[in-house]
Amino acid sequence: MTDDDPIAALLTRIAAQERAAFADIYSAASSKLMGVLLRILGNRAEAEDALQEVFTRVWLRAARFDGTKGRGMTWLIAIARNHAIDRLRSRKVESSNDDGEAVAQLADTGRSALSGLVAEGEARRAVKCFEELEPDRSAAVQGAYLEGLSYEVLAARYGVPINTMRTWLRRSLLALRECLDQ
Amino acid sequence: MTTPDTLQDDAELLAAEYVLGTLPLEAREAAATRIRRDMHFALAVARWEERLSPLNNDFDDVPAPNLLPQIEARLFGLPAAAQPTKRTFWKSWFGGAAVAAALGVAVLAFLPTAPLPFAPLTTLASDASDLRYEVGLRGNELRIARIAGTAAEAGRVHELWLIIGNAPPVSLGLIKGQELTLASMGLAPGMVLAISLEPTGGSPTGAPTGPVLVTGVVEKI
Repeated sequence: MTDDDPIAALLTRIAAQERAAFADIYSAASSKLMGVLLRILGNRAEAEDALQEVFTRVWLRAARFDGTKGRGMTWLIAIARNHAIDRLRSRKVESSNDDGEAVAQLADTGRSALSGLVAEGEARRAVKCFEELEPDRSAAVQGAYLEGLSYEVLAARYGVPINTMRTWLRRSLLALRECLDQ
Repeated sequence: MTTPDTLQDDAELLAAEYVLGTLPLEAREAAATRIRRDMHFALAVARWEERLSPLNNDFDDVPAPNLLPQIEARLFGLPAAAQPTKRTFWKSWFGGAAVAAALGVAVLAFLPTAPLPFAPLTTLASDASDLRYEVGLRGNELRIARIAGTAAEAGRVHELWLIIGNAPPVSLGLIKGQELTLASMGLAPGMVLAISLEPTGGSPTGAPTGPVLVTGVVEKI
């Protein structure tokens, strides 16, 4: 299982408290996770702070990684995205008046995430499944996933009520599941 | 396309929205707790993480500075100053001189009453959380310091409680930053310290109102 997943192999060693493996996983994954954190948080200093927290969690949670349920890098990116999005949502509580500004800032960052994907195998199927969605909805799903956009921000960007946006995304997710699980 | 089992569908959609990241903070926290307690929900989340993982290709690599020394210091308690660093000679020399000067000052200032280190009493921890507080005692000074996990989110605060036997918990104070130092007020082995999550300003009732995050038993004084 871990033969073709070097990150999973490192996580297994980290779960056994092997500190050399921890240094190796930092070398192997810190650039990717920094990319995730910076994209969502949009602030270098906060992203570096978050990176420390993310790797702290990697050490503490490595024993919970299950290589039969997913790939190592997917697991690491999930930890990084979850932490970054939690930070974003906490930030919104602090400054709930900034929504307009946030929307303005985010309004021009939209682009088709999958356009740059090397379309082969699984990725090709993902591209096809996203293409089956209406373009607005596909972009909304990608904006949520890649930029951490909330329902409120997405609703404002696409000029629809929040509940409508929620329905859009839920239906899109179910359609994606249908298509991707084939 | 939808199964008749509404409950199952609700959990499936919640898992999907959690992975997508669109839920508000409170719902995200509730989902994160459910992942730890509900294996089926955890599996649904893992499946969604895999399904949406092709999008991960769109995150560019961004070189990160080497933050490993700080991370290891946090996890393993190594003094940051003892970490090997890659500095040029003059910086190293200059840094060394500065440290020596600072030490000289420190020795002059503290020679009569050199501070002893805090002796560890217990660690407040929980299987359900990455949060860790280390409790140490020096003389009659009690220090509670967060060594892993994050501070409470905006609008909330960590509150420290002392529980003696079956008596109701007594609040010892709010931990707003990384640590809290108190007078030790007659701690004895067997007493329990706990941290709960409370609204900013602390529990409005005088008893813990939020979830208890971590606990620890005082072992020996």
